Amino acid sequence: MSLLLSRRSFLTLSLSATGLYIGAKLLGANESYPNFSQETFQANAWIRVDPHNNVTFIIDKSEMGQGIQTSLAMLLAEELEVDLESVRTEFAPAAPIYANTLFRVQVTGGSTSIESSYDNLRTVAAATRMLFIQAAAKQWQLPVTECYANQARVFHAASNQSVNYGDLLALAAEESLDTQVVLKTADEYKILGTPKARLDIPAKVDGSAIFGIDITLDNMLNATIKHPPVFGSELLSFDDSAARSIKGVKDIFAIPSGVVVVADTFWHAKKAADLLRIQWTEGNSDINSASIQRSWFGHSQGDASSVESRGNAEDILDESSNQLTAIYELPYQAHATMEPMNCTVHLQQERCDVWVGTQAQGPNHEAVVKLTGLEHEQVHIHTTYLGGGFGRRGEVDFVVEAVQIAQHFDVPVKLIWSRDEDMQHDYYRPASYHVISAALQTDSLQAWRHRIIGPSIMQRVAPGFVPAAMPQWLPTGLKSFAAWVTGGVVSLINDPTLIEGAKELAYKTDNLEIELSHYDPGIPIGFWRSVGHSSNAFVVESFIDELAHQAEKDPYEFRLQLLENKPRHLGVLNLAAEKSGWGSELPPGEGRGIAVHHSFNCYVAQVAEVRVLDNGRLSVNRVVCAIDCGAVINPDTVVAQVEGAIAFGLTAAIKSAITIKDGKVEQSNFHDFHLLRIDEMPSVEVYLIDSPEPPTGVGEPAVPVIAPAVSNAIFAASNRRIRKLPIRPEDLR
Amino acid sequence: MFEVIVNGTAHEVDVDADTPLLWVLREQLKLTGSKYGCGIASCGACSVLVDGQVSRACVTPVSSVVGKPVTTIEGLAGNRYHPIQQAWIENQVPQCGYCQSGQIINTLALLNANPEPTDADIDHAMQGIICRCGTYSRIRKAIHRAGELMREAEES
Repeated sequence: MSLLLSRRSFLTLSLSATGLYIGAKLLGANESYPNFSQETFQANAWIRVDPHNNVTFIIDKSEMGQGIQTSLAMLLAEELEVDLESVRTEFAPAAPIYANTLFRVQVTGGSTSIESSYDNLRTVAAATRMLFIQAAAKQWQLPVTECYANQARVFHAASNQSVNYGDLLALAAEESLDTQVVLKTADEYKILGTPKARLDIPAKVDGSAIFGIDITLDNMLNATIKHPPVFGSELLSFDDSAARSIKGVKDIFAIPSGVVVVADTFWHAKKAADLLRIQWTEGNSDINSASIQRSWFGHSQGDASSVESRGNAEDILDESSNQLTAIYELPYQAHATMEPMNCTVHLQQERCDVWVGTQAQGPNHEAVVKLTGLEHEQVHIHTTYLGGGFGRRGEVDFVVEAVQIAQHFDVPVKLIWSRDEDMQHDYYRPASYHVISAALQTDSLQAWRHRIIGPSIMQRVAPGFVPAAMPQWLPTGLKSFAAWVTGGVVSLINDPTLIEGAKELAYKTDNLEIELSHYDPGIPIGFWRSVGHSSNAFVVESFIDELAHQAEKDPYEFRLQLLENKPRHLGVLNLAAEKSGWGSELPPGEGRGIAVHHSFNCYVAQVAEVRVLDNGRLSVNRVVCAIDCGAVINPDTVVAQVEGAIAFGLTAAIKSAITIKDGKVEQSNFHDFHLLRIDEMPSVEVYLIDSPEPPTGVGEPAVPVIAPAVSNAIFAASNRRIRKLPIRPEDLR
Repeated sequence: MFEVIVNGTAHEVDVDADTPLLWVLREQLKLTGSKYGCGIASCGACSVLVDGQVSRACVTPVSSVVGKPVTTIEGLAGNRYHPIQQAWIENQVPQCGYCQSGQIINTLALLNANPEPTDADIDHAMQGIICRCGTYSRIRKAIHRAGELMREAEES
């Protein structure tokens, strides 16, 4: 049976021996899955209540440390009137009902989980609670309005009666909703907005949490792969005579992306793989970081496309006597999740099971269906915990490989990439080059021109961009995702991954020119925590700081005056400045820097305090962060995500970069791709703005702000302006 | 055949002498709490105690631990959580959680040797264990708290 919830959604109920399943179907959610049959919706719902009164929440987002399992369970528990601690959770299979309502494909990313679930999940939970109340009222023959629910139980106070949800399943399944679902207001919340212990943490302190790499199945084989080290190169031949002498090796063969060793254990597979002698074609061995830089310079001189234009920035800049131009550079960055890419597949005659820590159940489902020729209903994606995601686990490459390997065997096979393969075959955060100019007139920003030179992620990801270059297995669901990202019209010019954070300049100016010069050297690129913002905020916020100094203004006050009509920017900027003690004295050699940025509908300002020693040694001592993410679901999770985002952004600012030599990535492991360590972690203070706005995601928005806050602090401490990341000691000597 | 004693139980494993302890734990004994991160002893996710000392299991040949007691994350809790695990939960330390067994095992070695570590002691002892999620501030707080809890437990 289905009940109309709103113009765009239905509630679906189905009663079975194991309980009552409640789900919601959003109109249009199945558009990207034309082959999927309607019946499957019924069995895959969000809420299952069993006769023992156990409430199970089938969570349609991936838990990669961002606390979403708990935050979503909080939304559900609040409106369903159950204790958060009593909610059991399961990760959802791949199915159209679980499509991200913003992306229209089942993906966890873009800091959208809370935003896309906030109304839907609460509405479904509230409607479910109402059904149970109605069912109890009917059983007692009492007015519905006199009954209420608490702790998975319906009560009638006057008659002192109560009944468990679990005892109302059959009755509730027959109910229909004749009143509108009314959601609680913030002052009625018992759970939302209060710090709640994360549901996943106990299993993560005793070693029992299962990540993809931990999947252990009967008769399972283990595989590893060697990819061509040089981008664009292909397999010529391989000699596996030495590799085959390793005990336990079952088979060695090529798949389109590399050479695979399958053995009884991963250790044997890895040992054998290291003995392979492989000949590859030359590939793009002429690509080097230096040659990329030369091409950037060429593109900075040539033509570019205008992506945002108003007034007449060009002429004003030409004529201004008070103008400043600077060049900024950012490198490729690896995701470097602590858990290397891995996936386990058991392919049988009429069924395929895939165990994987993934952010992209939808695209993976499509890819596996295409590869195996099975029906959607025969492909089962089992989502595990993710040992880090950051965008890397939104890709399907390693899942495709695992299926191609499993096609050789009747038993399950687990593919694990070695760390070297993971580091050298990532989809990197794009490197980019920026030429930026502004004209000042007393205190105002008269004109602003920013030319961005870099590659387009969407051109790789979205089939609509360049159909000819599209791999055969590329999921069709990505089309709708691409359309969402680009606002419906897919073209190079509006690829937000290149221009986000630059195009929508918050600072007031009447003359603006944002230009794009697309240049792709052929290094694989992808979504990296905060995507284009991670680069553009560094450029914009550093350059604004340069302008403040040029205007001989305090960088905080200079920003205030240019953000007059941006109340939420001002809110976080003022809070961060106040809490940091902006303007107070610091010892010699120390400095304070400020930055503010809006991304993913969220506003973040940070003040960093650094110390620069004469030998170039830098320490980031303290970071004060103010965040306006709308209504707060789990305050401690917001704080944790900000702390983590600062560590992630700081790693890219002061520690690591991916560089290219002779067509291959130079770094291969943590000895040469350095991540922030505990002794380098600043003390972080996080302040939340009390906001009535709808909640936004918080996984990404604090990442882009730290690099400019730190580099501006370095300028304050040492008069050295950083225009290239990562910051090296030699830049500070 | 090698005899390994893990969390108080002796196991006979039929592996080559050069097999790293990590893969013996994960693949032979199905103890998957110790993680593979780098394979070159540079991230600490595989940390275990061998004879009470921290050892990077990914580069420790099984032949070198014969007869020595090995403690993994699975061996920490008895009927209830170890004080370190309690402190970890109190401070809501983990995010993705992948590195946390390594963090906890290294904390155990630190607190066994130095029950009341300073921040500098913590930096020194924990510098080798990477957390990509950046839970370092909470790890620091949790170590101080775990020290307290362990001292309390000893006094009572």
